[in-house]
Amino acid sequence: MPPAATSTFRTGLANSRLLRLFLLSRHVPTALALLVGCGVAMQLAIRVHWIAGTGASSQAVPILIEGAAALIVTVAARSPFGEVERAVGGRTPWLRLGATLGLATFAVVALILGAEPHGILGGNVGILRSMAGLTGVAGLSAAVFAGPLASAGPLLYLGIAEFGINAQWTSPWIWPCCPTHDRGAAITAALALVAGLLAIAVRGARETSDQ
Amino acid sequence: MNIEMDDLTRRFGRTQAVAGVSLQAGAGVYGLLGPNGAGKTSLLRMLATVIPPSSGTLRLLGRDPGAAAGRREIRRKIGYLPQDLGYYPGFTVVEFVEYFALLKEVPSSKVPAAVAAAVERVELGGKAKAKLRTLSGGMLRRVGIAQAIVNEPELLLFDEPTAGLDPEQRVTFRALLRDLGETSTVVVSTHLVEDVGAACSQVVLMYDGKFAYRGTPAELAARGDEHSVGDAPLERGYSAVLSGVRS
Amino acid sequence: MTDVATLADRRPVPREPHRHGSALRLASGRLLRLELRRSPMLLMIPVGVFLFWFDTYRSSMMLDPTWGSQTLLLRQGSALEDFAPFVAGFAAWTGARDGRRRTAEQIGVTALPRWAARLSSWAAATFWVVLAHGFCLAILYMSIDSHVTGGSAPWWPVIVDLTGLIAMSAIGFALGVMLPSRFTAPLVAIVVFMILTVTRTAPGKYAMLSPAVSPMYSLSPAKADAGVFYPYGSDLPKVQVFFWVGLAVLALGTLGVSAVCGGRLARLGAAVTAAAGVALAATAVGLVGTATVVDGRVTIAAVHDSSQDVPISYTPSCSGSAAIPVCVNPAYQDYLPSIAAGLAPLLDAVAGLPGAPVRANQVPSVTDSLPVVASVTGSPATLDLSLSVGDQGLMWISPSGPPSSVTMPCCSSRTLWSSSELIGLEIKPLVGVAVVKSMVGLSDDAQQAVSLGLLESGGVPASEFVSRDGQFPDANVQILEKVLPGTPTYEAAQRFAAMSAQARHAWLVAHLDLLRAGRLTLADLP
Repeated sequence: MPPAATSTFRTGLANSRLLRLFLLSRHVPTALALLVGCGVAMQLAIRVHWIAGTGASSQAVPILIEGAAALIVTVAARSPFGEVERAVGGRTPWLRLGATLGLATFAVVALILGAEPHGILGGNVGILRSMAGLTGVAGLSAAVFAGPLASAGPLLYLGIAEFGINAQWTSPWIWPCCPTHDRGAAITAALALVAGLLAIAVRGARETSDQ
Repeated sequence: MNIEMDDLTRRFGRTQAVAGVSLQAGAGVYGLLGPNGAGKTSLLRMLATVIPPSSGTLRLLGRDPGAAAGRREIRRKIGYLPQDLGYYPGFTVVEFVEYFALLKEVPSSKVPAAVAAAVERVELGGKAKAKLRTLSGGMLRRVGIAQAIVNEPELLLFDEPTAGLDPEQRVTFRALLRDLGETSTVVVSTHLVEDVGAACSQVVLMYDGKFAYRGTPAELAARGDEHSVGDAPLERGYSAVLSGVRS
Repeated sequence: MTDVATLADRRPVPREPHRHGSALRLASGRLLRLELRRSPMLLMIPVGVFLFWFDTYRSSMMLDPTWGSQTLLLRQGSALEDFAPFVAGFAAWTGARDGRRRTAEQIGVTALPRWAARLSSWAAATFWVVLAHGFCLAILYMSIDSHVTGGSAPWWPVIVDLTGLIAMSAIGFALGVMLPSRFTAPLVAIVVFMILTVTRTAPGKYAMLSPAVSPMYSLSPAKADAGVFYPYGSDLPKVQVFFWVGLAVLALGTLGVSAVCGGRLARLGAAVTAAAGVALAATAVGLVGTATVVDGRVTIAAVHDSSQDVPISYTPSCSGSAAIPVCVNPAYQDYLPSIAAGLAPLLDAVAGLPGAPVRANQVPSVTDSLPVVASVTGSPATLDLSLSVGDQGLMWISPSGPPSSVTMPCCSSRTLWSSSELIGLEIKPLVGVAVVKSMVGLSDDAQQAVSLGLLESGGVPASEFVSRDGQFPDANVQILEKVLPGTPTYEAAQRFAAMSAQARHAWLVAHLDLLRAGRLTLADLP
């Protein structure tokens, strides 16, 4: 093998080892298992008719399952190493971004598969939009607040969303209230996702021992 | 005797961390030396009643730590500083030490004075109301020492107590050890032989789960007279003992 | 061979023996104060209070100014739902503290039994929960008291709420202790949120143990006019309290059974405590299984207080000069002018006719699969009118949601009943259908034509029914919805409505008996 190819191979190997260690440090295997659990929960909820019909009650349970998935994604972003990780090179933001995006994608797939074959109100597009927006909200919350408050942000959003669904709001800021074809809601959810991912990538999840 | 152990062992799966050690110890400061993996921390954890022995007998402060009532009484009278100190970032220094004083069932009326005395003794009086998250590593270590001594324990167990302390603080700490050793049994597990030499009246060297040496620091230093490895007499003695055990 | 390693002439200084009893209590108080100052639950308070204001408080203030109405959402578990997920999640975070901070070993070698230390930590967290939620409920009750027109304050919902939150805190804390993972706290919060959401829409008796109630699904939905006609029922709240106390005791008992918690006796005590919790919760489940539900009122024989079955006596307030007087409970007398004005065109159109009601009385709301606004009963006929309409006081009647023609939110209950125009628009059609069905019938074309014509003359045009096709749950309304423009029945109804009031009155006096007996056809109508 020519030296350049060998070097590239070794660099790739090192990067894959780095990625593996990074993912292990963030408890990503546990997160993946929990996300599969969310998909199973979606399937079970459909089968036992917790998700049925077209009214407000048919949206409440899926949103909570999506919220759980979003929280799992952003809780996995927490670093166990504290400030020492901030003193290393420039790879960490990319690793954070990749891990969060990867987990969010896995979550969407798990939830879509969990909703098959019956589907839920809003369909796969609804799941994608919800997960995108909720991951963004959870990411922003995790970057700004430490400890239990990091989860309080998305939970508060879910509470307001449930109220909005019952009251038939149509504000794009509360995208679960809007039909899936609503462009404003889709844009808002996408913007939330971008903001959340940027916050996680640049800042990382805030730790409670931060000064 | 504050510590009485006979043929004490501790296994973790197939690994025998402590392989049958015996000791009787009263008041005084005992240094526990040894290379990494020698079993020092495991022994210390048994003495702290964190883990039970796998076999052998152990009596602490005249009581059997295997019995619930005895263990509770022992825990009122010991102080333990683990190698890996955990803390609550939001607590202040005083709150953290007070928390442990209360858990150790120090009489309530005596808690404020005990906490103040412990904090002063580790020279953190000026930082008493500072949140733990604002302290340096060395200061956190001193907070850990404070929580260990707040209940005026009869048995003190320190695992790497001087990690993070500057030289001046280490000198102060050694004086504290000597002072505590007047009335209590103090066991200090450390890699720093100069701490042992300065503060301890007895030294135990562990290797591979067993006691490879017991004696005074001067006797250990004398062992290294004809040994060339080490920058100081105690280091040479330490190396000489280990060389003998390994050969 | 053992070494005796001591220092000569050094003896330990005698130390004072520990005194327990009162000293332990003082120390426990000090420990509790320390935990109170540093409890993470303090961070939950602003979030819970905000959500309570946003959801429960604002919506409650929109309802009728009676105790029953403005505590309706509270009695449906809304306030508890605002707090519960955060309480459970923050409690789980608190419980996982030693695992997260790696202080388990340091704490584990202290003398105070682990169970006692854990209970201290939990009690501090729960104190803040009770304080914050109690504060919110106090504000709600003081607001209601400042402007209420009738009814009495219910206290069982406060007890159920606080007990439920204490239980959520205990369960969350116990889960945090058992599973000090970074994922535990948020997932506990979501699961609690989910359980309350699911039980809210679950039918059946056992779902009643959950404090979260939906009027559309529950066997015992809270009624807005509770405490006005009948005392509040306490059977179900008592059993709910048993259930939640049982769960709390179970959770707190489990905190003390693990090996680190102390000796066998202490752990046995913890296990007995947990078992007692299971027994209490199981008793509650058994009791709710014996519940009977009539008109939404729950009776559980073992805990029933028969004084709750005695109606609250009152002297009705009536509209004096109307042909058919309208009478309401004094708690609703502020609405009397608008109700009388809103229904006047219809009531005036039928007043004096054979079979017409002689008065309209407000009655307690009847909870069925569909809410009943009006019905005609008795002899002489009386129009029974229920003012408790719709979900959360907003103006939709069908369980499937508000009519698409009604802009949401149409109006709160208070706005509706204060507006004769809105009453004419939303309530008069339903009252009219009940009246004409009783007077005339809806079984054949002739009856339907005369009914529609009477309604038209009373200010309820036939187009009102056609435009709301399928939106009204009333089966009789749906019959009239099928009478479409251009059909012979519809045309006959228009001709009947076009008659003068005197002519119409005279014709009905002469033909009503035959019409009711089904002996007339469309050809017999004027």
